Amino acid sequence: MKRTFTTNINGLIFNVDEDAYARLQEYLKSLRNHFLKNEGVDEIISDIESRISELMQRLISPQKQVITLFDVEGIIKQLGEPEEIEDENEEKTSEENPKSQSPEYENVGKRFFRNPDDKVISGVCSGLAAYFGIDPIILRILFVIFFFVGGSSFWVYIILWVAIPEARTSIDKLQMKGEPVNVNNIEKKIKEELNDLGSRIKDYGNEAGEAFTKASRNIAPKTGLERFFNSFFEMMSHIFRAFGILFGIVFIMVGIFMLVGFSFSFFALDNTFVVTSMGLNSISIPQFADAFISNTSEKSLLMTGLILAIGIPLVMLIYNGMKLIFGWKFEIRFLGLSAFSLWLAGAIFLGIVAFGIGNDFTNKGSSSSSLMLENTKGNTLYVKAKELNELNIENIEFYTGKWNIVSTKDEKVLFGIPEISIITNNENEFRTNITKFSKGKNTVLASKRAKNIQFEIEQIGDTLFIDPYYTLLKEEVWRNQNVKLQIFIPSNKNIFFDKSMSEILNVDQRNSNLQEFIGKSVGLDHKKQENRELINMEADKN
Amino acid sequence: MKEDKNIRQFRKGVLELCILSVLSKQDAYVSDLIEVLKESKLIVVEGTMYPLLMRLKNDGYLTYQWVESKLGPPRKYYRISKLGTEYLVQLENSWDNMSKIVTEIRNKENQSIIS
Repeated sequence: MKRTFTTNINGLIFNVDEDAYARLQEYLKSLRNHFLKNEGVDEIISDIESRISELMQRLISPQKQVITLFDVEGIIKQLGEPEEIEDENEEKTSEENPKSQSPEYENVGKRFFRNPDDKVISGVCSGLAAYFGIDPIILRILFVIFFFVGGSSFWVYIILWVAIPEARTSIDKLQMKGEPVNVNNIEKKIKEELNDLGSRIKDYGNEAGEAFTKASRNIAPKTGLERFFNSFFEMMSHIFRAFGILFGIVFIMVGIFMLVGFSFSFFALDNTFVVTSMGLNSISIPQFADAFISNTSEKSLLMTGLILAIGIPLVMLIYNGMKLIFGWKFEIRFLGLSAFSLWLAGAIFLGIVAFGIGNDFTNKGSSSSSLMLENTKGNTLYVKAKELNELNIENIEFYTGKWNIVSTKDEKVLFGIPEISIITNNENEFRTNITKFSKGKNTVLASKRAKNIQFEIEQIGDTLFIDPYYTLLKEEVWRNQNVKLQIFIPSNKNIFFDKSMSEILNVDQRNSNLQEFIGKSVGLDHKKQENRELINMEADKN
Repeated sequence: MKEDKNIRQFRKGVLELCILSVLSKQDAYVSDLIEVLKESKLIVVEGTMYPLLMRLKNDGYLTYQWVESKLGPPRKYYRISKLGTEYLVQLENSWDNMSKIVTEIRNKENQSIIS
């Protein structure tokens, strides 16, 4: 079944076959061009239309309801092709323009177009061949050869495919071949196309249906070799298309998945998404950012930067996936350019923030305090971890051992494990030294931050109670704060680490060499060998 | 090519005369005009009629009104104007004159032209 259009010609309704309708349209268009110089073109055309409708009406009968291409050709023959019609302005126009009847189309010249009538993938080769006036098979073979030699032609092809428009109208098709564009040639071209279409439909028969005739447009076999390449390319193009759809699906799925995750970690202010010991599942970006940035404007800059720099590529990924799947041909103007500019802006924002934070890491500052442990009765110093009930951990959000972010009931707490070392001295008393470190954009700020680190020790009799971790004040940001606790023991005395210390010593690798002190009263004399190493290590560090 | 053009010009003038002549006897639809002129082989393609009628109308020789036909929408029904009738007389006179001259010249003996 051919498609038919229902059309209103001069107030009468007709059913017209698709091809007949196209022919009629082109005819009226060419007439309009022909009469362009006449006064009252519109009226002439409408008179002719009314004549057409009159003639069509005579053709219609109860047995015949549809106007066919044959009918239209008959009508056009009766009315005359534009060049047959004697023009009122003939003298004038021929004096002005002896060569052409339609001067408005002159000298348009050749243009690159993709040829949709003789295409294997997208008509690039065929269009180029038409431009240079050579056989498309030569270019196709070249493209295939260079596809296998380094694949360079693949990219060239893709670029040309995108860059060269398809020849859609008859005028495009004439320009593609470099033929002068005038009414006669357009007519000729249309006739050629219609004949071509007719013969093709004959060739392939009606039984295959519309789908087949549509597909067969791609096949215009001429030689055995070309037939081979045609079917080869057609196969390739199907594979290509299938891959396109597959990629499209992957693009969309990955894009949506990441976008959902991204927006959740962005807007989830509670602890829905956490970093567990299993790995990074998702983190609340605003809270994570709080750990590094205290300044509100800097924080909103970071947020905007992240949305743009991560969100835009994801959205574009989804968009391109859709394009691949549905084969969208339209282009949104400047979409790529504006997306890129936004992304770039986001990247710049992130760069500014990163530079600001990085700058705040450039200088080191420290603050230290010593405590003489007097009045110890025995020869052994017991070390115990304080029980800090206040830190009621609900979720461990970020966890490296050395540095951790946890959430308690109502706030985020940044905490770290102190680095503990044991050193022998020649004094008679136990002594401790706490050194706190931090980074900052200058030494003063770094030292101030170091001072604000919360870490306490307390001596009760023979026992030294220490905080199992140090924390930062709520308004503080993470600037690589660190605490070192040194315990000096006289060479004739012992140290005993309570079991409560095991977590501190286990978790932080830097303290792992002290694990052997747990639950034992050990004098450093007895382990001189190891202690010397320990001391050397400490000496190196300091 | 040039001859062809002359013949066309020629025919165009005659066509004008014929249209006015037909209309001077009776008002008509375009389709009626086309039938008469086609019968006499004055026009090959119908398309020629429309720009010509347009010009005659613009020059004021013709008028038309929309008249309902038996079936279908109203169509243009042409009528010759007063100016058209005068113009027709001029055309007819010059046609008669010219055809007389042409016949005379064609029928004259060769010698009389030379002498």
